[in-house]
Amino acid sequence: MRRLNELGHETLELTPEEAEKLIVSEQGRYFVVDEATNALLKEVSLEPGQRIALIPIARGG
Amino acid sequence: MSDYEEVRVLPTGVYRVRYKQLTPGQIKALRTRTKKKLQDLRVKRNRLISELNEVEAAVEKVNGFLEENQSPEIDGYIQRYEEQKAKAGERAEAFLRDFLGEEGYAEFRKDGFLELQDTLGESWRVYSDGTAMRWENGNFRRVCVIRQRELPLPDHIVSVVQTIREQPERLMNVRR
Repeated sequence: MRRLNELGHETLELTPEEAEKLIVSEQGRYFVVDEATNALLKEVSLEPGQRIALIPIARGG
Repeated sequence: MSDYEEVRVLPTGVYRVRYKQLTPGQIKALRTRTKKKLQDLRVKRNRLISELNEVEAAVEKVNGFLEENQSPEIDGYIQRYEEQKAKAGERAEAFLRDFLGEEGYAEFRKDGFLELQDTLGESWRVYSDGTAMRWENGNFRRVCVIRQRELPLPDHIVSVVQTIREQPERLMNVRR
């Protein structure tokens, strides 16, 4: 999993369950994108080996 | 005895010297003025010494702070941070390239901006410095997007592009 956050560009190796837990905890802050297809994942259901990116949702000032 | 003057020749030049006779009253007044002046000067000297002590203490404090901040340990921390940041920037740039695709990325870097449409059919531009503009009333108008602290610029661009594509309403009413 690749997470784009304020700490910089962070790569995490997680099991699908760990990744799903993290995604749920960060809900509303990130888009979840499949890196292979660049498609937005609407449902959090991951496969082993799937590469995903958490892209922060931009906020207006 | 009264006031008088004389001309004096000295090695440094020729001078006219005037002498003024003082009455006892004037001498007393002169003493009083001189004592007052001396007192003022002593007060001033004490104040300046006090200020000097304060400045010296401040210099010591700042110097100590600077020395603490120049330890090899802290230098190492800064170096690791900068290396990490540079690597993050490289990974972010590679991710932006993947995200936009080779062709889109090449156009973006050539033109300096990316033009895209949101789900509502509105036109947007995202520039290589991370700013975003929305087509409105015949012009592109800048919208204000907050960049997360320490987020590499390419990641910020990805974030803005993805938000415009998926949730443009988040940036609709934030004109700069």
